[in-house]
Amino acid sequence: MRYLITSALVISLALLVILIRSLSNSDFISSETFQLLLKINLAFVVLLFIFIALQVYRLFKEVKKEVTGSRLTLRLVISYSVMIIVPLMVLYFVSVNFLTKSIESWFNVRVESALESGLNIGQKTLDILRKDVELKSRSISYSLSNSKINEFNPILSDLTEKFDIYDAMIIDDESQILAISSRDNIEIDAVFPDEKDLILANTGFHGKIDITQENIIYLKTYQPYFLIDDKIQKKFYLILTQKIPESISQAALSVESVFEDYQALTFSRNSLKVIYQITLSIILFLAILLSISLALYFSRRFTMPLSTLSEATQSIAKGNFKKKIPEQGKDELGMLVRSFNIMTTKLETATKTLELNRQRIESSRNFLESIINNMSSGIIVIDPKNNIRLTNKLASKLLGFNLELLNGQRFNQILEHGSQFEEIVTLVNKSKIIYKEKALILKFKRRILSIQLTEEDVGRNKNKIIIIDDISEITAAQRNEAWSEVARRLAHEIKNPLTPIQLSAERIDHKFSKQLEKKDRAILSDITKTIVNQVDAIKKMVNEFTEYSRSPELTKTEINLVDLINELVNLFQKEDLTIKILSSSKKINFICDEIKIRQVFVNLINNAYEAKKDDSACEIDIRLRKTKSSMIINFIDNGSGINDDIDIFQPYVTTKKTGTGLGLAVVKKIIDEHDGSISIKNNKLSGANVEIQFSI
Amino acid sequence: MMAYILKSLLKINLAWLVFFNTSYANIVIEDQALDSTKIKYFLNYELDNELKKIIDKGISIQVLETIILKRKNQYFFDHVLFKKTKNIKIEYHPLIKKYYLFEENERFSYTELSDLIRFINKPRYLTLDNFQDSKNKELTITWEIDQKNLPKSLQLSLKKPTWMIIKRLRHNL
Repeated sequence: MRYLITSALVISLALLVILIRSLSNSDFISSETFQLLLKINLAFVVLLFIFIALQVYRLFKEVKKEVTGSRLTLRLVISYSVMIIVPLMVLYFVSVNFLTKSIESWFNVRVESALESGLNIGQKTLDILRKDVELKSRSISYSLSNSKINEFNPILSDLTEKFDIYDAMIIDDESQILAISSRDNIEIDAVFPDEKDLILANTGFHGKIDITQENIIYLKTYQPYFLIDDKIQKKFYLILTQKIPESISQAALSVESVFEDYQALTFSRNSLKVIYQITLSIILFLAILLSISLALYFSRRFTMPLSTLSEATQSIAKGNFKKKIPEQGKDELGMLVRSFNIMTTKLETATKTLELNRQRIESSRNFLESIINNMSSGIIVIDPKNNIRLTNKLASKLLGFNLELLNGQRFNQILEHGSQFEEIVTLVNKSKIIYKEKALILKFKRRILSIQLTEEDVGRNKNKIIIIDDISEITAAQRNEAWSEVARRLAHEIKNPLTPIQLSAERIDHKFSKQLEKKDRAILSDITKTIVNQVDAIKKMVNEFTEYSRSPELTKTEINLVDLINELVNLFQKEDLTIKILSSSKKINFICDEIKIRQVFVNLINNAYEAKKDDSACEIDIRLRKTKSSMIINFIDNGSGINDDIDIFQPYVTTKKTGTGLGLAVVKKIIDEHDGSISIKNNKLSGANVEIQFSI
Repeated sequence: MMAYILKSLLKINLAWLVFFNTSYANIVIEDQALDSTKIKYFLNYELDNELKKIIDKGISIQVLETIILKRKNQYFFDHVLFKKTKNIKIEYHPLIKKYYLFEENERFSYTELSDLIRFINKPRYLTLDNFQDSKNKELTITWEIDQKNLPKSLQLSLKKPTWMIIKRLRHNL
């Protein structure tokens, strides 16, 4: 397109030059060619206009599409164009006005009047000369009429010389030349009179002014005369030819020529104005189009490096730091491009370093997160604005809700998950390094959590780190240990005196019952029975304590749990008890201490039966299933269930009126000794579900 | 035989006439011989008022008479069999108040323009060699102002004046 515009411009300018030359030089080009040239010029102007309009349209489309640099190009094009077009328009209007005035001034009334006057003077002069020749003609003819025919020649020669006549001729009415006189050797044919003139002269004097093809003005007179002595009255014609003096002739013809030119101009006055105005308009349009095309070219050239820079900047903004711009020129733009390239190189290096650091940090962070997630403690990191910044899975597990959902939010929002966290929030808000154990009541069991709050210095800001440890097991173990010790001591200190007490009570009853009266004997018997019963009860309790406190000495053998449970179920034959066994297999072998496991199952069946509701029979489902890694046994009853708020496996914890609170504690201890786990939860409708899980 | 062919060929058929300022114009076959055809053509021309003004202001006018005989070709360019051009110059000298007519190296002077026009309107004759074929031929006679010989200022007129073309006659032979 650019080459097309350039070609069109060059051709248009060439045509314009030819057009202007043809205007100034009439011989340079014919009128038809001039008109053709004018039309071609106009066509080229239109063609150029279309080309440039297309360019401008393309620029507007680019602006609409928000192509980089297009707006700046448009602004520059408009600015350049306005800068050039405004003075051009002023110049154009001044030129057109000047031209119109100039053309009008050619047709000044005074000029026309002067030319007409000049022409009139020429006409009058010729008339005067014609009259002079007429007089001379009359005078010569008078002299000739008084002469004889044979005297014509000398008289004519004499008189023409005397009257300064150029050529003279005498012919008769039969056009016979009778005499002739001439300054030059004239050709007879050239001066011979026209028949029409002779006809006109037949009635009297006839004179005419004529002009030769060589632009010589001459006067010709025809004077008929008769000889006075001629009785026949034969008619003769004196024909005089007088050349107008060259000075007068040239001056008159010159005036006539100028008059003709002036009249020609007068006729084409409007055409001339239109032609010149059209030519000027073509020049104007060409200049405007040239200026717009140059504005387009220079604007694009100027904005191209800026566009490239802008595109490169956008590319960098998107993260492509490898973008380089080809260097061009040594001007400010070139310097800018060089500086940009240096900047991108540095940015690329910095970004690489940054990326490396980021990867390192990411790696460290992943490592840290891995450590934190695999820590045996729950971690919550709180930033100085009291927002949760980091948590691990164990923290969520310990607190009983997904803490990750609260990342970035205020720490206080954990209160939405339970009022039990109030104390932790209070401790955190105090912003002091605190070590405190906080017991949180969870849904099913009583857990003991250790909450440790520390502060981490990060510059001026301090992050708070909450470390949560589940110390329930430790505490339980400590308690168990304490209870075991108590049980051992009790067994040792209490069990030994019990037998003598029992024996003594029986001896008292045996020895003194006979000595007493019936009434007193009965009383003694009741008392001693009470003592014996109570001692039995104490013995039983002490045995349980002994059992609980005894160190694990497991005698493991491989047994079929299904058979063991079936055997136990047969022992519990009661009207208000129904036990169902659901096993995934008929044979589930398990290496264990059979006696202890039997005790566990008995305890659990007993507990289930004892927890039955008064108004309904007890139903127990025992479910056994074995997976690849574990064996699971469930005891599901329809009893009254358990209290969620207490840890029922702790020693001395019972909901029964007569229980020691050691049954389930012993069960748990045996399960623990078999590296298993036991849990209990209430069923949806009624009763409880005890689940025992052993790892295989 | 030849005469018969020519007679049949030279059927006079006035194709069309364009009158601007002419009251009457025509082409007439004057005489037919074996080897030639004499044609009479004439126009009764009345000068356009503007042209009269131009002439009276001393601007010389040249009328270009062009005679073209073409063999018509339906599918290609016509073949020009005969072409002749003639210049007729009209000139007025306001100084001596005389009109001049220049035609074929001859000069005629008139004191009245009407006399000059009368001279122009005289019948003209043309003798054409016969072309012995039966194909359609067309004779075109055009009188037009020779624009190239007008003063430059008049030539530059963008709109061609009505008096530029005086007359065009077409005749199918």
